[in-house]
Amino acid sequence: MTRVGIVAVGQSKFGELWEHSLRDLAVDAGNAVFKDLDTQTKGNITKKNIEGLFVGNMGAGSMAKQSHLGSLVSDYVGITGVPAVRCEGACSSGALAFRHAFHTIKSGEMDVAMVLGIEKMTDIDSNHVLNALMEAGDFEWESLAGLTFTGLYALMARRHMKEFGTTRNQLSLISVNNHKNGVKNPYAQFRGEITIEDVEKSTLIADPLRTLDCSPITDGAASVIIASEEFIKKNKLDNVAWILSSSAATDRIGFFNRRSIVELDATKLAVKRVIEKDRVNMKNIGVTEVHDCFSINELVALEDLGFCEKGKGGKFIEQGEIKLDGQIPTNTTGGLKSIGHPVGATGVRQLIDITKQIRGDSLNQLKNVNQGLALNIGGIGTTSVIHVLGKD
Amino acid sequence: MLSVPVFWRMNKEKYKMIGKKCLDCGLVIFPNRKNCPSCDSQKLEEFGLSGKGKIYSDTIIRVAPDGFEAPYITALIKLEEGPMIVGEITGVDIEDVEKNPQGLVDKEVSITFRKIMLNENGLRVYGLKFLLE
Repeated sequence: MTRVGIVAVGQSKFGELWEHSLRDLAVDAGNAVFKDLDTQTKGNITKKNIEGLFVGNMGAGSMAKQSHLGSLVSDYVGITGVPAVRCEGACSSGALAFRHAFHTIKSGEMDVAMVLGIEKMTDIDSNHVLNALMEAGDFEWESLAGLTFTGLYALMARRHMKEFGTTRNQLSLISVNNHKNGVKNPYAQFRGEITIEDVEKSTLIADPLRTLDCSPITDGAASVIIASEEFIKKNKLDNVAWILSSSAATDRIGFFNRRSIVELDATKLAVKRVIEKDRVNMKNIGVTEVHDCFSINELVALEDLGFCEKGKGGKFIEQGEIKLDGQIPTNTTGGLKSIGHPVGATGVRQLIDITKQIRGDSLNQLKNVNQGLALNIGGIGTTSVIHVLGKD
Repeated sequence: MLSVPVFWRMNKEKYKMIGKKCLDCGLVIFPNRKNCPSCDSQKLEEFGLSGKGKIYSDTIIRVAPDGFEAPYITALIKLEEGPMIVGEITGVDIEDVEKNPQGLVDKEVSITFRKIMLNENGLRVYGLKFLLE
């Protein structure tokens, strides 16, 4: 079967974009990815080469009163006529859309496909956004019990603190690092550095999690164009980020039904498949994007992916191993905390930032990065999606 | 806007705490399922739970979704028959709970019947909450 590579990337601004509608965001990401396609292929490949569209979106029905995004996005980005579909897996919708596009190319059905992740979250009141986000959990037994997503991650954090001695300070360092990495990011919602004191003085949302432990409510869209190896070689495209692994796993919908609430089995299962099925050597991963929707989730992700031992995530962070000069530079452009978290767009945005590290044009470019890993999580480890990209 | 049957059909579980027990592997199942999540058997019988359990983890919700009024304490409760469920802890002073970084972990609780939320169409939704023993 053919290999598949990312040939172009582009995104809209992320933030509270009152002046932008859902479709405006799609157009901004579309125009950005087509511009990059033009640059990368020296004008040889255009939107006319795109044979299919995969849209990642969680809740446009609830949050923007719009479904049928396959058609809407293809219409507004100017590729009407191509087959198009919306993929949904809560906050992992973006990576799932990418994965479906990848499989379609691998099957030989298409040579070039477009992926666009999108979410418009500020057209409804923020308390209704909380209700919409809880659609990712168990409606009957979590939402109807008054639980929120911050609440779910707070239950995880409190238990992690009890079992492993994880500290408030260690969680704070995660947000501090993400904000530091996001300062230069022109697309980021928040571009200011924060201190440990800022985090620890911020308002409690669900104890022990505070405002600065949480990614914000964000509008935004992100897009990539991927192509088959035959197409890439025929058109002599270089500067491609190859997809070395695509892996996904699910867990039971209710957090109360899990084997453990301090590790996410879906992530562990997904990374096992990355290593065993796709033969990725985790030692070769030089950069990672993990799903820091809440600080505790970045810590648990680092443990579940095997970058550090279970229960030692706090120490690992304290030692500076996630910084740009650490053992595994994490969320090098700001993560969900600083860049923002338009849920359906995040999984695609993570892949854009890994692609740039591989191509060599990241705003915080690392030296000698050959492979990078992105972990996009839906719900609370209810779906975990991992992609590994590489230079060759 | 959710209609009455959504809540009515959960009557046995949410108002009487009647779950299921698997006749093949003996697993106690709550909330209900049609198939056993452990052995996949469809041979399940009704099984009443005691409503007693222990707090596994808890949080104070300070920013509530529509229909709820913050602050309130929500917990994961390990029931004495085995299953874990989510429930609000009522009848406690939040100012006391927030001082303890461990929250209410390991405290014993038992079930009570209370108003849970006000639905968008003015429907008062009742259900399970928990009291400290």
